[in-house]
Amino acid sequence: MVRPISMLLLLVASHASFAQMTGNPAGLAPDTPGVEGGGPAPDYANNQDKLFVRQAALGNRAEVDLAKQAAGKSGTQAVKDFANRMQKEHSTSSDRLMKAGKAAKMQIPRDLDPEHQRVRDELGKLSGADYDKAYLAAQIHDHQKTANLLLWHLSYGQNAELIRYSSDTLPVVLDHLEHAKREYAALTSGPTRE
Amino acid sequence: MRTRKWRWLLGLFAMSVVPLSHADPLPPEATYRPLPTLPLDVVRRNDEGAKPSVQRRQQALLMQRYDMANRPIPGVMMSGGRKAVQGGVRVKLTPGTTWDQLAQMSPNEIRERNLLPLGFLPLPHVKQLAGGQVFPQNQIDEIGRAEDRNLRRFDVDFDLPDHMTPEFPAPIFLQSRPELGDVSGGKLLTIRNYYAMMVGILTPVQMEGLRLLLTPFPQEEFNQTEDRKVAEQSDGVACLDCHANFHTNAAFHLTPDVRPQTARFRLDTTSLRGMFNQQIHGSKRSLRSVEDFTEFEQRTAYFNGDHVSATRKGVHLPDRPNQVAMMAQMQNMIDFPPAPKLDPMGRLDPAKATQQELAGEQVFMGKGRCAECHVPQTHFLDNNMHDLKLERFYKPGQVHNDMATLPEGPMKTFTLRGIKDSPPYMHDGRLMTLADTVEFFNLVLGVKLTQEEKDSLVAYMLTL
Repeated sequence: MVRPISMLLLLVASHASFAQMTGNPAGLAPDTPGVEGGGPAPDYANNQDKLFVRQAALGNRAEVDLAKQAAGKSGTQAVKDFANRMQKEHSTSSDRLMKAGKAAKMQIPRDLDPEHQRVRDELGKLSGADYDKAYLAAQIHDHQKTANLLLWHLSYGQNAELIRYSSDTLPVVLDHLEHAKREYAALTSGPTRE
Repeated sequence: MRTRKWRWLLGLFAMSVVPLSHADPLPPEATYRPLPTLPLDVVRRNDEGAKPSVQRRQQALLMQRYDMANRPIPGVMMSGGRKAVQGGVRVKLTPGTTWDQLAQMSPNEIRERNLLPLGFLPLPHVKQLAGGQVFPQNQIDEIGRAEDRNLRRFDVDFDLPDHMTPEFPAPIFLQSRPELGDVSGGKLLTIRNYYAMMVGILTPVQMEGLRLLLTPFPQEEFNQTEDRKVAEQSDGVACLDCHANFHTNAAFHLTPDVRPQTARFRLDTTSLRGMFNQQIHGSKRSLRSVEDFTEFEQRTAYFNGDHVSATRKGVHLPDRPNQVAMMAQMQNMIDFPPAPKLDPMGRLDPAKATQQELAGEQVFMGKGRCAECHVPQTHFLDNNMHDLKLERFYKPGQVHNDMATLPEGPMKTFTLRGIKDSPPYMHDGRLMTLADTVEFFNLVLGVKLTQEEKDSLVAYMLTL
């Protein structure tokens, strides 16, 4: 009688690590720690986690950088407010990502990625209302991409800490997207969803 | 000269466009199904190990959102007379609120204070990140017995209690032979028994359509490859494994029409009753004929809208002029259950209906705004998709059991004929009872119904 109970306890204990791994194990790498024992380790970072840390870090950096540019260049208070919000919230987000992403052991490039560099250069040539519209349009596009990056990571990432980062960040990014759409619509008299 | 002019124009265009970033697209699995990288025995060991916690997590979500008790409405049975209809509001209120308080608040206030009952939010798949078709136990048992075919997945079980699902097997009513009544004989139609059950009732082409609808074909989770969720190599699934007896057994899936995986919403199987009057089909695709839908289901219900994965696993593409037409014709023969209190135009006959039912019809047609989409004369359909904009009431992006709660956009209007036979309700089955649907629309449409009006609406819907 004692033996089945202790077996059960063992099973429960060994399955506690499954709480975070609720995806399809068919896509796990064969060298995932724990996978041959029946459950991958939740603190392991898979390829998707690693790529996510890189892309999200570059995204955060670009948002902060473009926001600093906007705070200096825009003459519209609502756009400045939006830019200040981006600078503040993406900086906080960046700090948290760097902590959460330690397991991924990724080297993040020091500079802006070439595409955001190009966007910053293009925006640098504009001024006044043209600048405001172009900055917000680029922000809408960037936040669409970031929302999809988070949704993709939530679909295929594995590291528990990074999954928590993505779940907490998704509502914020969607709210940034709404904010950018609202300000863009205000400048262009276009439609908003609300 | 011409080229130079073009260059000049292109340059002008490039200067005028808003700078957009196009670098670093997401990896292909953001859209396509990834190929498996582990042997099936390792996958199965991991899936079976995770299964108890997967099921517990889903049960915790259901218990948090709903009162799942077995509490039928006294004396009200589904059309086959074999299962009771559940009653009462089952969505749990956010603590400290009442339905009347919520109805008085603006959508914005409900959103900002996080007061929307969680049961009104989209319902996640039992294992969102794996997704796929999940069959209720009664269907698994009956197909196992009748055809020796295994519909049991090793990674997940069905998540709703039996009393919250349609009666099984559902009765079958034929619009070509209305005088017969239920022709199911209380049995589930299978590839083994269909001929004996239907010869003399159906035409030759309908019979062939029925055979095809009952024939198993490879599917994403049930196939011969290592990328499956059933223990043995499987012949696949049949259309009527979900649309059991042309109704629904509440088997569920994820929409094939949205990516990435975590953004896909759950789909509760739709009844095929009254197909002859339905003009649009499919989750987001709004296909305009049942022929189109029948043909394309091999790409969608079977393979998640991923024709790349389908090709590898062995997709069956039915021949349009012959097989598809016959399958479609068979589906068009299926009638709604009888509604003796309705007149030929879908209105209550005052000589047969109770005062409460008649009062419910008044609310339905007027203050409740139900009939603006559920038009009685067109079988409670308007053949349109509508966006209820539920996100007015919540902050999008919260993740529940790996599902991102996002705005869902337009959905087609479902018929309300025979609606008491089709729990759970809404496209994803997020509402357990008709009383839940009344509270949901009372809030979404802002119509501020009294308790008496709500009760009369439920009584009315039970007559449909």
